[in-house]
Amino acid sequence: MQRSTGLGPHEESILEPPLTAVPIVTARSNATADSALVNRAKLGDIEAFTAIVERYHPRAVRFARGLLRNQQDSEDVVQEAFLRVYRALPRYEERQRFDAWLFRILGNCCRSANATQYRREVVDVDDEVALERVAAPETTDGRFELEFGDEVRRALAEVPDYNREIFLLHHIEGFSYEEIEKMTGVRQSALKMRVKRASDFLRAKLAGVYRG
Amino acid sequence: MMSRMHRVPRLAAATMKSLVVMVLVAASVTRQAGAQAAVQQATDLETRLAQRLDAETHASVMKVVDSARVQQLPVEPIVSKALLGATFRQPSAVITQSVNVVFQRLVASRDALAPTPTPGDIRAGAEAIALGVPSKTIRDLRSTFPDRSMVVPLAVLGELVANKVPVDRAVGMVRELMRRGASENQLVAFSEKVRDDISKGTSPSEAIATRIQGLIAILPTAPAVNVDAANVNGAGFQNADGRKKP
Amino acid sequence: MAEPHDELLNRAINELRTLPPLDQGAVSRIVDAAARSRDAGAAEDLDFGEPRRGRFFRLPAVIGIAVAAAIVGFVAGVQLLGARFFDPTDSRRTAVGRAVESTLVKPAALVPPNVDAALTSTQFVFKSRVAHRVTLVGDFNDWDATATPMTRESGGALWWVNIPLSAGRHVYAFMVDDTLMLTDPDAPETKDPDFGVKGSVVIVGKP
Repeated sequence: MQRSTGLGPHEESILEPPLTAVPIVTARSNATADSALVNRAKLGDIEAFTAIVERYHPRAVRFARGLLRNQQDSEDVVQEAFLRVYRALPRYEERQRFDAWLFRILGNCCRSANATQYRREVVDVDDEVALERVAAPETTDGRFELEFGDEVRRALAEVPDYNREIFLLHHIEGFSYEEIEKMTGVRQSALKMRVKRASDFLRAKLAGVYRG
Repeated sequence: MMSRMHRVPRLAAATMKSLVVMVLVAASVTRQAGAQAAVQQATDLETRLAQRLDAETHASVMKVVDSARVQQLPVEPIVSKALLGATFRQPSAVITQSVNVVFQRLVASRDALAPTPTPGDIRAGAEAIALGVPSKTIRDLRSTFPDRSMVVPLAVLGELVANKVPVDRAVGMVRELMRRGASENQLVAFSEKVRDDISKGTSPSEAIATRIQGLIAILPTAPAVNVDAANVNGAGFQNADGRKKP
Repeated sequence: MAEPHDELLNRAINELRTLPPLDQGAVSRIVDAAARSRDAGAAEDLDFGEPRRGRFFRLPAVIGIAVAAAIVGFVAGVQLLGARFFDPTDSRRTAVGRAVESTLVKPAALVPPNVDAALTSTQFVFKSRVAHRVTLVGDFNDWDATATPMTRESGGALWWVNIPLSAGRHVYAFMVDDTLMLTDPDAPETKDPDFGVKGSVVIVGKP
């Protein structure tokens, strides 16, 4: 499933994701459905707004957990973002894709939260205790997945905020550089550099952990 | 409290991934509506029954299944009832009788939910009837909401009635909540809260009278005036001290 | 996605893409807060200043439809006698379990047009230190005691399984060590109208 595309190391390549990849909810497939829901929500239809929240809440939580310094704030920050979205709905215009608009607001909320919260909490104490208690897992694969997942998150938390945010928007939430440029106002070339720095950092960190 | 939220999904990360695949596969599988799939399902159903029932019971259950198919009623409730009986080692005659009763409930449900109920609607109606909801009540609810899915409202209605909430009051509640735009999940949450209150000793009437206030307060079509219990619906709603409001 | 040879980074990306289950409690809190802010007539500029940290609402969580994480240990365990005669009509209520609902977001393209068939992942949890084998039985798996084994975290007391359920009412129970059928004390109980046997009820909403 991996193939050589002849592209340079810093250019984007189009790959088939590995079979076990979790599919990204692509914006295209949701565009029409979003449009109808958003229009209804703008008119005050609370059930349409509920549907919008249900549709995006897991992604918003995923993003917030990746970006926030203090993961325990995730729920609060996501809630604040959705409330802002709700209050700003009358002013939302369809020119911009809804999810891009949502994530712009969410990103701002996360950044504000990070600015006021300098405590760095990579792994919460209870989690460590829980991990130690997993003495004899069912399969070795399961155990390896568990460790790898936590290592990834620890490493991600060490990536500087401004690089991490763009990395998450691009590689995890699936926004293109062009879309992110519109969302953040940062030039595409600068965005690519941030993603590269985050990627290099993660790769190095994880390779160091799993050497050999 | 906050840390609990992501701890469990983390520990089950690998399972979550396979579950995503499983749910996606399940969702795509259910879209198959071809004749081939129908034939295959029929065979599987027979196999499922044959594996767990003796020959005599299997034959009589299959007769009821065939009747249901002819009438275009969902057959799963019949299969499920038969296999429940098998698991609990019920006598053959009891299983046979019970699947016949299920069939009759399905017919009654389909008629009450006319003209075009979905299989899920029919199943839900049959279960509500089994729990004590009269067909007429189902028919009335359907006529109020001719285009909405009845699956969750009927499940909630059935549970309320099973918890000894008087039928008129229970359907009045469900109808009012639906009219005010309660989502299906809100309906489910409402019924669970009512059930919890009742299990802690609150009377059914008090439980629903209280819990509906909480839900009405946040629903979009709240009236301009203060919501008073008696204004919710005219179907015999009482205020807290038991007197009927005029 | 990263470069083709960048296996480690790709694995990391895959890991980070894991979506948490839909937290219906949080969704309800958000919608409740939004409705209240509308009623209060709050107006807001589309600005990006400091979030008002002091005003996060914590409305009471929606009971029952909560995220899978809300597993707090209960005290009671299951008491099993080794040679217990199988009596499924005896619903011994010493067991502890809870049905908790979690919902996964499905891409819009895969949501089936037949809404009856849409499935919600639902977690069932059962607590026992002494059981050797626990399976879930219910109207979704033909009441087959071999169909849905539950998993226990090593060294722990909690058995669990996730299964996709269609919307509506479902009845279930736990089969312990192939001998004892137990209802879920944290769920509403029901008596089958035709056989009189007891089971537990879960109502599944829209995914």
